[in-house]
Amino acid sequence: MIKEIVQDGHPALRAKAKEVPVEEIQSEAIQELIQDMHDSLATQRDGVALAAPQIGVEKRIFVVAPFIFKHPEREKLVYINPRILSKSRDASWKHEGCLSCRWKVGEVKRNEEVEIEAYDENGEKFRVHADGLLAHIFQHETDHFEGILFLDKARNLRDMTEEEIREIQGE
Amino acid sequence: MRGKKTTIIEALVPVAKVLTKAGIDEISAGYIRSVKGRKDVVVDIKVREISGGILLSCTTKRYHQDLRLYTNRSGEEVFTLLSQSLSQERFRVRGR
Ligand SMILES: [Zn+2]
Repeated sequence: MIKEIVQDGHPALRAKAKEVPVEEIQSEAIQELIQDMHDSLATQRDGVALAAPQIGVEKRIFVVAPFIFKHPEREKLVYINPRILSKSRDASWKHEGCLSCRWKVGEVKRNEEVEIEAYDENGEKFRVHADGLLAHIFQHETDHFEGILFLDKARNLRDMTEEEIREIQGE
Repeated sequence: MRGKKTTIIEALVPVAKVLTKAGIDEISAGYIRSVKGRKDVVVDIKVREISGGILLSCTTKRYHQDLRLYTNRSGEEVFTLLSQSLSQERFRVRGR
Protein backbone atom coordinates (compact mmCIF):
# COMPACT_ATOMS: atom_id res chain seq x y z
CA MET A 1 0.00 0.00 0.00
CA ILE A 2 1.23 3.49 -0.82
CA LYS A 3 2.04 5.47 2.34
CA GLU A 4 2.64 9.15 2.75
CA ILE A 5 6.30 10.12 2.75
CA VAL A 6 6.70 12.25 5.87
CA GLN A 7 8.56 15.54 5.74
CA ASP A 8 11.23 17.21 7.86
CA GLY A 9 9.60 18.08 11.17
CA HIS A 10 7.98 14.64 11.61
CA PRO A 11 9.28 13.01 14.82
CA ALA A 12 10.03 9.64 13.13
CA LEU A 13 12.74 11.35 11.09
CA ARG A 14 14.55 12.42 14.26
CA ALA A 15 14.16 9.23 16.29
CA LYS A 16 16.72 6.46 16.63
CA ALA A 17 15.22 3.58 14.65
CA LYS A 18 14.99 0.11 16.20
CA GLU A 19 16.48 -3.11 14.89
CA VAL A 20 14.12 -5.71 13.50
CA PRO A 21 14.44 -9.03 15.38
CA VAL A 22 15.71 -11.48 12.74
CA GLU A 23 12.99 -14.01 13.55
CA GLU A 24 10.37 -11.35 12.72
CA ILE A 25 11.67 -10.59 9.22
CA GLN A 26 9.39 -13.11 7.59
CA SER A 27 6.36 -12.09 9.63
CA GLU A 28 3.37 -10.69 7.80
CA ALA A 29 3.82 -7.28 9.40
CA ILE A 30 7.42 -6.82 8.24
CA GLN A 31 6.74 -8.26 4.77
CA GLU A 32 3.84 -5.84 4.42
CA LEU A 33 6.01 -2.95 5.58
CA ILE A 34 8.66 -3.82 2.96
CA GLN A 35 5.97 -3.92 0.26
CA ASP A 36 4.60 -0.55 1.43
CA MET A 37 8.08 0.92 1.22
CA HIS A 38 8.56 -0.35 -2.34
CA ASP A 39 5.11 0.94 -3.33
CA SER A 40 5.67 4.35 -1.78
CA LEU A 41 9.13 4.76 -3.29
CA ALA A 42 7.79 3.85 -6.73
CA THR A 43 5.48 6.89 -6.65
CA GLN A 44 8.47 9.25 -6.49
CA ARG A 45 9.98 9.99 -9.89
CA ASP A 46 13.23 11.13 -8.35
CA GLY A 47 13.39 8.52 -5.59
CA VAL A 48 16.29 6.07 -5.54
CA ALA A 49 15.91 4.73 -1.99
CA LEU A 50 13.61 5.00 1.01
CA ALA A 51 14.08 4.29 4.74
CA ALA A 52 11.23 3.07 6.98
CA PRO A 53 11.23 6.26 9.16
CA GLN A 54 10.27 8.13 5.98
CA ILE A 55 6.87 6.48 6.12
CA GLY A 56 6.74 7.05 9.86
CA VAL A 57 8.00 3.62 10.98
CA GLU A 58 11.00 3.73 13.32
CA LYS A 59 12.66 0.54 12.09
CA ARG A 60 16.06 -0.09 10.51
CA ILE A 61 14.97 -1.07 7.00
CA PHE A 62 15.65 0.65 3.70
CA VAL A 63 14.78 -0.29 0.14
CA VAL A 64 16.51 0.66 -3.10
CA ALA A 65 14.66 1.36 -6.35
CA PRO A 66 15.20 -1.43 -8.88
CA PHE A 67 15.78 0.88 -11.87
CA ILE A 68 19.15 2.06 -10.59
CA PHE A 69 20.52 -1.37 -11.49
CA LYS A 70 21.11 -2.83 -14.92
CA HIS A 71 20.06 -6.26 -13.66
CA PRO A 72 17.84 -5.61 -10.62
CA GLU A 73 16.88 -9.28 -10.33
CA ARG A 74 20.48 -10.05 -9.37
CA GLU A 75 20.74 -7.29 -6.76
CA LYS A 76 19.70 -6.80 -3.16
CA LEU A 77 16.87 -4.27 -2.92
CA VAL A 78 15.98 -4.67 0.78
CA TYR A 79 18.40 -3.92 3.63
CA ILE A 80 17.35 -4.81 7.15
CA ASN A 81 19.47 -3.85 10.21
CA PRO A 82 22.28 -2.68 7.91
CA ARG A 83 25.69 -2.01 9.35
CA ILE A 84 28.42 -0.18 7.51
CA LEU A 85 31.52 -2.32 8.04
CA SER A 86 34.05 -0.09 6.34
CA LYS A 87 34.36 3.06 4.26
CA SER A 88 37.09 4.01 1.82
CA ARG A 89 39.36 6.82 2.92
CA ASP A 90 38.59 8.95 -0.14
CA ALA A 91 35.51 11.09 0.00
CA SER A 92 34.00 13.92 -1.99
CA TRP A 93 31.19 16.44 -1.81
CA LYS A 94 28.22 14.97 -3.68
CA HIS A 95 24.95 16.47 -4.79
CA GLU A 96 22.24 15.14 -2.56
CA GLY A 97 18.56 15.44 -1.78
CA CYS A 98 15.98 13.59 0.27
CA LEU A 99 12.35 12.66 -0.37
CA SER A 100 11.59 13.91 3.16
CA CYS A 101 13.20 17.32 2.60
CA ARG A 102 11.32 18.72 -0.37
CA TRP A 103 12.53 20.78 -2.20
CA LYS A 104 16.07 21.23 -0.97
CA VAL A 105 19.38 20.24 -2.51
CA GLY A 106 22.91 20.53 -1.24
CA GLU A 107 26.26 18.83 -1.19
CA VAL A 108 27.29 16.29 1.40
CA LYS A 109 30.73 14.82 1.89
CA ARG A 110 30.44 11.09 1.33
CA ASN A 111 32.95 8.27 1.12
CA GLU A 112 33.46 6.77 -2.31
CA GLU A 113 33.22 3.11 -1.29
CA VAL A 114 31.32 1.39 1.45
CA GLU A 115 30.99 -2.17 2.63
CA ILE A 116 27.67 -2.98 4.20
CA GLU A 117 26.22 -6.00 5.99
CA ALA A 118 22.47 -6.50 6.30
CA TYR A 119 19.64 -9.01 6.24
CA ASP A 120 17.47 -9.35 3.15
CA GLU A 121 13.70 -9.84 3.07
CA ASN A 122 14.16 -13.61 3.54
CA GLY A 123 16.18 -13.15 6.70
CA GLU A 124 19.48 -14.04 4.97
CA LYS A 125 22.56 -12.13 6.05
CA PHE A 126 24.65 -10.71 3.19
CA ARG A 127 27.47 -8.28 2.48
CA VAL A 128 27.77 -5.82 -0.38
CA HIS A 129 30.76 -3.74 -1.38
CA ALA A 130 29.51 -0.69 -3.23
CA ASP A 131 30.83 2.37 -4.97
CA GLY A 132 29.11 5.13 -6.95
CA LEU A 133 25.43 5.83 -6.39
CA LEU A 134 24.88 2.71 -4.27
CA ALA A 135 27.66 3.66 -1.82
CA HIS A 136 26.11 7.13 -1.65
CA ILE A 137 22.66 5.65 -0.94
CA PHE A 138 24.00 3.40 1.84
CA GLN A 139 25.41 6.40 3.69
CA HIS A 140 22.30 8.56 3.26
CA GLU A 141 19.87 5.81 4.30
CA THR A 142 21.80 4.59 7.34
CA ASP A 143 21.88 8.22 8.56
CA HIS A 144 18.06 8.11 8.63
CA PHE A 145 18.20 5.40 11.32
CA GLU A 146 20.16 7.74 13.59
CA GLY A 147 17.70 10.58 13.09
CA ILE A 148 20.13 12.44 10.83
CA LEU A 149 18.95 14.27 7.72
CA PHE A 150 21.22 15.38 4.88
CA LEU A 151 20.34 18.98 5.81
CA ASP A 152 22.41 18.55 8.97
CA LYS A 153 25.56 17.82 6.98
CA ALA A 154 25.08 19.74 3.75
CA ARG A 155 26.92 22.73 2.37
CA ASN A 156 25.58 24.99 -0.39
CA LEU A 157 22.07 24.09 0.69
CA ARG A 158 19.44 25.73 -1.50
CA ASP A 159 15.84 25.46 -2.62
CA MET A 160 15.35 23.83 -5.98
CA THR A 161 14.30 26.11 -8.80
CA GLU A 162 10.79 25.92 -10.16
CA GLU A 163 12.25 24.51 -13.34
CA GLU A 164 14.00 21.70 -11.50
CA ILE A 165 10.83 20.86 -9.58
CA ARG A 166 8.76 20.91 -12.75
CA GLU A 167 11.17 18.51 -14.37
CA ILE A 168 10.75 16.06 -11.50
CA GLN A 169 7.00 16.38 -11.52
CA GLY A 170 6.94 15.56 -15.18
CA GLU A 171 5.88 18.75 -16.88
CA MET B 1 17.31 9.52 -1.16
CA ARG B 2 16.63 11.53 -4.23
CA GLY B 3 18.76 10.90 -7.25
CA LYS B 4 18.92 10.47 -10.93
CA LYS B 5 16.70 7.71 -12.09
CA THR B 6 17.65 7.77 -15.67
CA THR B 7 20.66 7.02 -17.73
CA ILE B 8 21.76 8.99 -20.73
CA ILE B 9 19.79 8.07 -23.83
CA GLU B 10 21.64 6.27 -26.59
CA ALA B 11 21.70 9.23 -29.00
CA LEU B 12 23.45 11.39 -26.40
CA VAL B 13 26.21 8.97 -25.49
CA PRO B 14 28.67 10.66 -27.91
CA VAL B 15 27.98 13.96 -26.12
CA ALA B 16 28.80 12.43 -22.74
CA LYS B 17 31.98 10.92 -24.21
CA VAL B 18 33.22 14.27 -25.49
CA LEU B 19 32.51 15.90 -22.12
CA THR B 20 34.13 13.18 -20.04
CA LYS B 21 37.22 13.23 -22.26
CA ALA B 22 37.50 16.97 -21.60
CA GLY B 23 37.36 16.34 -17.85
CA ILE B 24 33.70 17.24 -17.33
CA ASP B 25 32.53 14.08 -15.66
CA GLU B 26 29.90 15.21 -13.22
CA ILE B 27 26.94 14.83 -15.54
CA SER B 28 23.42 14.39 -14.26
CA ALA B 29 20.90 13.04 -16.73
CA GLY B 30 17.32 14.28 -16.40
CA TYR B 31 14.08 12.52 -17.15
CA ILE B 32 13.44 11.23 -20.62
CA ARG B 33 10.37 12.66 -22.27
CA SER B 34 9.07 11.47 -25.60
CA VAL B 35 8.77 13.88 -28.46
CA LYS B 36 5.98 13.43 -30.99
CA GLY B 37 6.00 14.33 -34.63
CA ARG B 38 9.61 15.45 -34.92
CA LYS B 39 10.99 14.45 -38.32
CA ASP B 40 14.44 15.99 -37.94
CA VAL B 41 17.07 13.31 -37.33
CA VAL B 42 19.71 15.82 -36.20
CA VAL B 43 20.04 16.08 -32.42
CA ASP B 44 19.53 19.63 -31.10
CA ILE B 45 21.65 20.71 -28.15
CA LYS B 46 21.00 24.03 -26.46
CA VAL B 47 23.78 25.17 -24.13
CA ARG B 48 22.84 27.41 -21.22
CA GLU B 49 24.54 28.50 -18.03
CA ILE B 50 22.66 27.69 -14.82
CA SER B 51 23.63 28.20 -11.20
CA GLY B 52 26.48 25.84 -10.45
CA GLY B 53 26.98 24.59 -13.96
CA ILE B 54 25.71 24.19 -17.47
CA LEU B 55 22.41 22.87 -18.77
CA LEU B 56 22.33 21.02 -22.06
CA SER B 57 18.81 20.80 -23.33
CA CYS B 58 18.84 17.97 -25.87
CA THR B 59 16.19 16.90 -28.35
CA THR B 60 16.55 13.86 -30.54
CA LYS B 61 14.06 12.57 -33.11
CA ARG B 62 12.08 10.77 -30.43
CA TYR B 63 13.16 12.05 -27.03
CA HIS B 64 14.01 15.10 -24.97
CA GLN B 65 16.52 14.94 -22.14
CA ASP B 66 18.36 17.58 -20.11
CA LEU B 67 21.95 17.00 -19.08
CA ARG B 68 23.27 19.05 -16.18
CA LEU B 69 27.01 19.51 -16.04
CA TYR B 70 28.50 20.47 -12.70
CA THR B 71 31.61 22.30 -13.85
CA ASN B 72 33.38 25.64 -13.60
CA ARG B 73 33.65 25.94 -17.40
CA SER B 74 31.66 28.67 -19.03
CA GLY B 75 28.78 28.08 -21.42
CA GLU B 76 30.97 29.51 -24.16
CA GLU B 77 33.71 26.94 -23.51
CA VAL B 78 31.27 24.04 -23.48
CA PHE B 79 29.58 25.36 -26.63
CA THR B 80 32.93 25.53 -28.44
CA LEU B 81 33.98 22.10 -27.20
CA LEU B 82 30.78 20.45 -28.37
CA SER B 83 30.58 22.26 -31.72
CA GLN B 84 34.15 21.30 -32.56
CA SER B 85 34.00 17.71 -31.36
CA LEU B 86 30.60 16.42 -32.44
CA SER B 87 29.69 15.42 -35.98
CA GLN B 88 27.73 18.22 -37.66
CA GLU B 89 25.67 15.69 -39.54
CA ARG B 90 24.30 14.29 -36.31
CA PHE B 91 24.34 17.21 -33.87
CA ARG B 92 23.34 20.86 -33.99
CA VAL B 93 24.81 22.82 -31.06
CA ARG B 94 23.37 26.19 -30.17
CA GLY B 95 24.30 28.76 -27.54
CA ARG B 96 21.94 31.20 -25.94
ZN1 LIG C 1 16.46 10.64 2.80
